[in-house]
Order: sequence, then structure tokens, then C-alpha cells
Amino acid sequence: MVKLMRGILFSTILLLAACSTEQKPTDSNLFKGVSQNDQRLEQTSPNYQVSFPLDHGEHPSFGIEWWYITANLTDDKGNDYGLQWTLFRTANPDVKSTPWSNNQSFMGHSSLHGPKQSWFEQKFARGGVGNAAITLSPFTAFIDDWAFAASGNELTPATLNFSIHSNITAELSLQANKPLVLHGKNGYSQKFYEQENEPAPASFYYSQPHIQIKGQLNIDDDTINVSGNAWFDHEWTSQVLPSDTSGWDWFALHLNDGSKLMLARVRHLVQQDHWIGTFINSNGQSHSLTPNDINAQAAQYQTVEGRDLPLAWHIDVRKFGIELKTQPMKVDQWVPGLVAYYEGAIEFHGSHSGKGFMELTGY
Amino acid sequence: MLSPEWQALNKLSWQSDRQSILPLLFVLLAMLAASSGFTTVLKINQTARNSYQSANQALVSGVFFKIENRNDEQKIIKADYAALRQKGFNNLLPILRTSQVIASPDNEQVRRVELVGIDIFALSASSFMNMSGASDTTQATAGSIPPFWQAPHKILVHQNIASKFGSATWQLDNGQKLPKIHYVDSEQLGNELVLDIGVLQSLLEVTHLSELLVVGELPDKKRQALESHLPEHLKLSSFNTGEDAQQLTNSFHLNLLAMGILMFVVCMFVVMNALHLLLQKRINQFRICRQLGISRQQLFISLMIHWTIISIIMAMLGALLGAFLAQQLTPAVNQTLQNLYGVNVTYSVAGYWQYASMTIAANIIGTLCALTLPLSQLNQTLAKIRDSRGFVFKQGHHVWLIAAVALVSIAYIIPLLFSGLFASFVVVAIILFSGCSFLIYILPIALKALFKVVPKHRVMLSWSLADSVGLSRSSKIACCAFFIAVATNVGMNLMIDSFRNATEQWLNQRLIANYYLYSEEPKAFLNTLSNSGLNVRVVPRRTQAAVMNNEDIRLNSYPIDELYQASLSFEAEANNAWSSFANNQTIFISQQTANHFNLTLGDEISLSTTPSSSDTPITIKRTVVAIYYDYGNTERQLLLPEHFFDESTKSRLYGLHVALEDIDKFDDWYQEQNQLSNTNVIGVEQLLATSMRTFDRTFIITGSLNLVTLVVAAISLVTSFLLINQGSAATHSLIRSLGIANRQLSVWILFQYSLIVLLSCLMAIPFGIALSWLLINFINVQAFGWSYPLLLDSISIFKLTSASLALLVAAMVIPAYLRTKKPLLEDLKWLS
Repeated sequence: MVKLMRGILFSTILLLAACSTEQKPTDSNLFKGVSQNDQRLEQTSPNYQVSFPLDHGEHPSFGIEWWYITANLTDDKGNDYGLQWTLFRTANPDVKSTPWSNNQSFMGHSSLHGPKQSWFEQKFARGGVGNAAITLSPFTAFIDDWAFAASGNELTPATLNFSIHSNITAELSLQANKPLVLHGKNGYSQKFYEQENEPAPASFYYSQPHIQIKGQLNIDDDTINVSGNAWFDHEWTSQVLPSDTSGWDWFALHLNDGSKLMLARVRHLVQQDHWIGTFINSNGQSHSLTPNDINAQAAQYQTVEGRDLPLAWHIDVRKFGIELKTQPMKVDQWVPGLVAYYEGAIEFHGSHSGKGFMELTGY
Repeated sequence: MLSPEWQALNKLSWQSDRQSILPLLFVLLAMLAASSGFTTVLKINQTARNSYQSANQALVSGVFFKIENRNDEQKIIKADYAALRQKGFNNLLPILRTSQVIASPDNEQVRRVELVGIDIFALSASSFMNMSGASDTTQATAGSIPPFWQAPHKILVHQNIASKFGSATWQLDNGQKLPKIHYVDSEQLGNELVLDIGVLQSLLEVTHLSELLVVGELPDKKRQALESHLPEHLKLSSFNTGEDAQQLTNSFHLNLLAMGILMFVVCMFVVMNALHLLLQKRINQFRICRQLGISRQQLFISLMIHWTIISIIMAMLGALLGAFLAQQLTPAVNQTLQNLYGVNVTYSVAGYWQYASMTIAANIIGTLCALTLPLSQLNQTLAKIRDSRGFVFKQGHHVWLIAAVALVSIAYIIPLLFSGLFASFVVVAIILFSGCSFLIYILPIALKALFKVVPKHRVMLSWSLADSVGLSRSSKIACCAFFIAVATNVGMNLMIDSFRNATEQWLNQRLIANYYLYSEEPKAFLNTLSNSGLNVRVVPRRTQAAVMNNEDIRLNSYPIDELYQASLSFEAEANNAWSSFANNQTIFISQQTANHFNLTLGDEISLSTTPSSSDTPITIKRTVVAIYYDYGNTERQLLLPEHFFDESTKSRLYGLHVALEDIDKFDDWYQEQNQLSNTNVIGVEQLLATSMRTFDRTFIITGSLNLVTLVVAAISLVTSFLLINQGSAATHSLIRSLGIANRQLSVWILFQYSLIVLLSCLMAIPFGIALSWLLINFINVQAFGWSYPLLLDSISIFKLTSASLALLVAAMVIPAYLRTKKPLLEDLKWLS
């Protein structure tokens, strides 16, 4: 599912051409800055046929794009780790290409949440320089020495290597044996209600939720063997959220029967919140969920970094017999980047048990 | 709750101040001048020191290494950068640095600027956060993003140098228009114009980089790894500009601090005099207080508290004024440091209280010290319950001569025991104090001698001289302040004049080509020149880095023909120096190099250097046969004949000897070569004029501080004379009662003051000359590494002293005029 909020914030920063330098954007006009569709960018269309391996690559004519991996890892001693690695790309139509760079920008985020500590680093790069790019054959997504590198044109098998500052390195291999999941209608994922005179904002969005991940985490001088489930997302769009959108909540859950559940809510200050989701059964068959299929409520708020965040939830998707109570793996999983948000591992019980990831933005 | 006694004393102090506006104003102004001057100096020094940490590294601090190309044939390109980043060397920052002449079609101005292209995306996230001003990462907003991240890209310039550029549009030599200039108040910006690296590459139509800065620490292990991953055409070099700058400029800052302290001390003399005046005016109040049973101790404590409060208030105001002045002076300081040492000063925003606390402490201590003498005088007066005139000291007069001799002896011994810049400054201070002691000793003696030679029938003249002896004793503190100000003024000016003269002579001798070409990429220019048909001899000045005694030095080529031989002036040279030099057997070293490494003629030196055609360093040994003058150069340079260097050795400077008949044609030809970027040809006259203008600008600050000190000293003397005037009322009334007109009396009094000032001035001249000699032969050698002959220009000395004298006499007209307004009755009441 989309990490749209981060994309919006990141793209806002880099697309501020529309903003005069004297203007001091507030949270609300941050959204306005990118809420009008830029006609110089390619727009999403329900008629587009997502195809692979071509669509694993970048779509520079679209405004925002990201390749996203979250993983729930366990070490030999049973300790849980949450891992996130993301490469964001944005197009900046107002920036002229120069001998140094084109009008694309990249931002990388890596975070690791251990039982006691959390680590985070971010990177920035410009397109055309050569230190951040996407290649198709074989498929790689990299920024400096952080790289998701497949062995061929397909997404997996692949390796994920990154470091956080000088004391953490991750060397992981990824393998999936089930098909990719196209969200929405064949990958055309509508994010919110249609607005007056405007089509509903949408993105192209697919995932690989069935990744088996294993490898080593080197933390200071310790080498820790880990394994677990990972979830890959790739999403691109030029359409962004309506004004008065206040934020985004997203869940990617690995259920103990092998099925997967993706849920996302766009919160709006005036209109009713909008839920979307996809249920993927253990055979890899996916079922798109409508807002009526999803009943999810925040069960408990806790203060993190001075913000009240809904860290515990009741999730009810009766159509597929799912009734869950989620809890964060640990409270402090704040991502303190230039664009800051909450992104962390969670666990759940109820009709199913399991682990997953939750993202909360705009709080 | 304060007792009624304390309350009464407190109230009395504040009310009395209102009755003596003029001396109070002197105290307040002197305190303000002292504290603002002190804060200005502190802030300038601190700002400069802070900026050395990031010297030459606009926007980023903590850079100790850089990656650069080994030769000009294969430059760094973005593929090199990207490959290194992908190998995990993520702390590299690509930089394109270039010196360019820009012109404005709007106002036809031309400026040489340093353009720095930078890819801010390459900065580590933490640096980026700092730059963005997003102290709270959880609160990051787009408003905190630096403007050159935002299209359309702009050039960032610090607002303090906005006046250099204004709102005009600027374009490069190649006709490319520069982006709009955006003025910011970022402490990370120096004197450079910073812009996006891609935009700069587009403007210059180049694709290479100047260097990759390695941001942050680079431990040995990581450095070795980086070196092993570098492609063959790149090398890693250390980048200690910040430390070097700090070391180099220590002398400048010490000098500035010394001047600041001097000004502070002179201001405190004013405070002392004015406080004495104020206390004398209140003498009757104090007597009444004593009669009412208030102890002297209570009286003094209340006065100390009163003046401490005032000093705190004035120090706080002074700190504000000082911060403002420092901000205004920073461009001038930057100019000075850039001219002298080639380093930039940026604009740091330091907390007000950081400086205010130091200034308040200094002002309190200064005020309490300044109060000591007036309080001790008051104590004596109250103890005797009779009036006294001014400061009359009872010590044996010869003590001052003994003190002067003792101080000179100490000043002589110190350099034998201690070395270094600080010791030299101590010697200078001691010499000045010994001068003060000698002045106090000699002034009454000289006046007495004058009195003896004057015929006794010239009654008023005799009286005037006799009274001057007492006056000189009463005004000795103020005279000392004035003496110090004049001596420093003479000393500094003689030093600057000598330096200017030596530099001008040296430049005239050294600049023998008609034109000089400065260029990073001279090939295109030289090719065009060789095809122009003009008769021009091109002399490249090749340059190569080397290491001697583990320190970086620079080897320069020097031609051996007669013209160039005549243009090199030596501090010392051996016999047949040129012939052995021409045979590549010996070496010439600059005066700075000789002083730094303690080398003299005949010494053998060993140095290591890598020829441009090789990767392997070679060791060469040479005997020093000449030490040449090289003013203004902060590098330690050595000269070798041209044939020592490979043809491929880098040269950024070329002497162009244009045949006389072709000079006009050359000018026309050069006008047509505007399309050649990175090339600057300067005529020798223009170069000389620019050098001397730069020289003059360099000493603006010290000159201004000198003038301020002199003005403050003048104020000190005027207050002192005001005080003495008041104390002399009884004598004056007696003279007036003998039928001498008030105006006539005032003229004689003005004569007395002028005579004292003249004698102080005359005394200051030899001490000023001595000071100048010390500055040239000790301070200069230690600070810069070079010295030059002292130029004793009697006209300059005469001008300086007569200007000081005129300033003082003009200032003293005020007390003299005030007393002409005094009604006879007021004078006569002293007779009753």
C-alpha cells in the first residue's frame, strides 16, 4: 500500500517551485503545494495495464514513486526486529536538467527497530548523477551503497544490503514463490472519494507480500542471524490527496495461516475517512476490499515524540473471518527523518495471530 | 530592607549625578566606548576563529581531506563521484570552485568573485538538517529548505556583502547570465557565491569537478580503504586550511585584542578623571554626610555600588553596540584576513550574553579600578577636612625614573628568557609603561627648567610655567593616556608606512612583465596568443608542492636571465648565488621560510616532491644561497630554476612580456578574447594599483582603532583639565583680583595645557619610533615571518604629532572657553 504521506512531504520539499522562497508553508499548505495535479506530469489512468518486469523500473514521467520493503525478523534467540528500507523518487518539472543531474530526486530511508534500540538513516541523491537509480536488467534499486538487487529481471531472488551510520549493516537475501499482488483494479488503486470536478486520486500499486527473508544483521561488533517475512511495495502516481487531508494509516499484516492483509485509511478533516484494502489468501489469490468491508478502530493512543498516536487497533474484516487486536512491537518506532513519521513492527491476536507493519503519518 | 542611611546615600548619589551632567556624560560615554570596543574585538575574534573551523569549505564544517585529480589532463567527473559513493564512501561532497570575473551590464561594474558549485544532496542528512535550520527533525517543513534547492536555482550570498552586488544582473565573461542572487544570513556562508553545481557547470560549459570534500573524520583504516578505491587519476590530500588559518591569523587577533584592551584602558582613564571630577563636585555633600555620622566606609561602599550598577548598564548597552559594530566591521575584517592570509571569515550568530557577560565583568573591574584613585583622594580629603587640588602624589619624584629604568631592563630581559608573539606584546606594553614613568618624571623637570630660563619680568609667563609644574603632576594620568595613544599612533603608522614603502618598492622591482596572466586553463589563451602575431615573451611560473621537515612548502620556478635576476631582492645572498642557482645546484628561499625553519645562508636542506610526470616522490638536496623578500605571502616558498621543473608542471601564473611596439595591439587583441573563461590578464600598473589599494584597506581597522584611542585620550585630557580648572579656582581668583582679565587668564591657562600636551607629544615620538622598531623586528617576524627596513619619515611623524596636538588643543578650548564665561564673583568667592 502507499506510503503516500512520505511521498507527499518529500515531493513537496523538492517540488517547491510553485512556492515562493518568502512563503513559509504550514502543514496545511504543504498538502496544497502538491494537491493540484501538474499537467506536465503523466497522470494515472484506469486503462493502463501494469506489466512486468517493465513496471518494476522507474516511471520518471510520474511525480512520485517508491520501492518499499518492510520485514518482521526474528533472531536465533527469539528476539524480534522490525526493518524498513525505502527508495523514494520524485520528478521536479521546474528543475532544468544540467550536466550534473536531471530533474529527478531520490531519498532513501533505512530503519531497524531492535528489542531495545532503534536506528535510522536517510540519504538524498539526484537523478542523472549515477549514485542513485533503478536498473531493469537485472532489477536493482540503489542509493549510494544501499541496494536492493535482484539476480534477474524478476523481483526475487534478490539481496538487500544497507548500513545505518557506521555501526549497523544488514546483509539479507529475499525469496518469494507466489505471484505479485495488484491492488485496486489491476493495480489502479483509488485513494479517496471522487471530488467535485476532479477524479478520485489514484496510484499504480502492487506488492509482493510473500517474501521469505533471511540473513545477517551486524550491530556494532555482534553478528545476528535473522529470518522472517518481508513485504515489498512499489507505487507511483502524479495525483495526490485532496486538500484537508490530515494523514494516512497503513497496515501490512502477515497472518499465521499464510494469508496477508493490507489496509489503509486516508484521514480527512471534513469528509469521512476513506479505507481501502486487499486480502491475499495463502494461495496468493488477492481480493480487493471496499470501505464497507473494513471496520477498524483505534483502541489505544500513546504519546510518541510529543504526538498522540493510535498504536493499538481493533481490525475487523468479517468478509474473510478476520478479527484482530494489534499492538506495536515496541512503542518507540518513530522515524526521525527530514520527513518524519511513525513506521514500526506490530503483532496481533484474535481470529488470527501474526506480525506485520504499521505506518502512521500526519499526526 | 535598606537602612535609612543607605537609602539616603543611594538617593543622594542618583540625584547628584543630575547636577553634573558634563562629567557624568564623560563617564557614560567612556564606559560605553570601552565596553563596545571590547565586545567588538571579542566578537570579531570569536567569529573569525569559528569560521576557520569551516574555512574554505562553505556550508560544511569538519573537512580534513579532499580528493583531487593528480593532473589537469584527467579531471574528476561525476562518474568518479558516483562510483565512490556506491562503494560506500558516502561522506563525499562534490565541489566545483572557480574564480571568475563577472560584469553587470546594468551598471558596467566588474568584479572578481569566487563561485562555488555544490550538490547539497550529497551532504549527510545531519548537515542537511543543520543547513535547513530544522533543529527539530520531527517538525521539518518545506519552509526550512535552503533556497537553492528550489527551482529556479539562485546564487546564495551572505547579506553582509550585499552591497558588492546589489540587485544588478551579472554575467560571466562568456556571456552566460548568472542566476538571481539570493541574500541570506546563514552563518555557514563565507565570501563565496554558492550555487547549485549543475547550474555552475552549465554556466561554465564544463562537466568536471574541482574536488570532492571528505566530510567528517577519516580514521586511518577508512582512509586507507578510500585510497585503495581511488582511480589512478585521483589522489587524497589533507585539507587543514582551518587549522592553518587559525595558526596564521593568531597574530592578527592578538593585535586586535591588544588594540581593544588599549582602548579599554584609555577609556578607563577617562572614567577615572571624570569620576574624580564628579566626586570633587560632591565634596561638600560628603562632608555633610560625615558630619551626620555616616562613616567613610559606608560612603565608599555606596559609591562603589552606585558606579557598579551604572557600569553594568553601560556594559550591557556597550555589548549591544559592540555586536552591531562587529557585524558592520566583519566585511572589513574579512577583507583584511583574506588579503593577508587568504582565509574567509563568515558571519556567526553568537549569543548576546556570551559577550555581554565578559564585557560586564571587564567593565565592573575597570570601573572599580578607576574608582580606586578618586576614592583614595577623597579619603585623604575627608580625613584632612580640607580641599585639595587634583591628584597630588607625595612619593619621591625620582621613583618614576627608577621605575622607568627598571621597566626598560625588564623589557630587555624578557626576549632573552621567553620567545613568541605574546612575549613580544608584553615587551611592547612594558616599553609603553616605562615611557609613562619617564614622562611623569621628566614633565615637571622640563617645565621647571623652562620656568628658570624665562625672564622674571614676564610675570604671567613665569606664573604660567610655575603653575604648569603642579598641573603636570595633577594631570599625569591623563597625560600618560595621551602619551600611550600618541606613541602607539606614531609606532603603528611608522610601521605601516615602512611596510607600505617596502611592499611598493618590492612590487615595483618584482613585477617586470607588462602583463600577468592568471588562469586555471591557459592552453586556449596561449595558443591564441601564439597565433596572434604579437611579439610576446611568455614566462610561466611553474609551481609544485613539496614537503620539508614534515611541513608543506611550495617550489616555484624562477627565470635566470638578467632581467629577472635584477628583479629579485635579497635579504641575504652568498657570492655567486645566481651562477650556482642557474646550474640547478642551489636554492633560494623566502624570508618567511628562512625564519620558520631557522635557516641561513650555507644551510643544506632536504625536501621531498613528486614531479608532475611521475607518481614517485623524489628527494632533493640543495644549499641555501639566497634569502629573498616575499612580502604578503603566507606560503613557505622556495625558488628553483625553470629547468628543474617538467614541462607538464602546473602553472597558473604567466608573465607576459609584450614588446613595447605591440602594447596597444595587445590591448586590442585581449579585448577580443572575452570568450575565454577562467582567464584573467592584468596589466602591471593595474596590478600595482590593486595591490596597494588592497594594502591600504588591510590597515583600515588598526588605523581606525588608533584614531578612536587618540580621541578617547583627548577626552581623558579634557576631563582632567576640567577637573584641574575646578581645583585651581582659588589661584585663578587671586590672579583675577590682581586685575588680569578673565579672557587673558584663559589664554594663559590654554597655553599651560598646550605646553604640557606638546611636551607629552614630543616624549611620545621616540617611544613611538622604538615601538615601530619592535613591531617590525619582533612582532612582524613572529607573526608573518618577514621584516623590512624601518622608514623614518620626519614629515609623517610631524604630521601625526601636529594632528594629535591640534586635536588636543581644539579639545582644550572647551574648558578654557567655559572658564571665560565664569563670572568674576564666582572666582572671588574663593578668596573669602
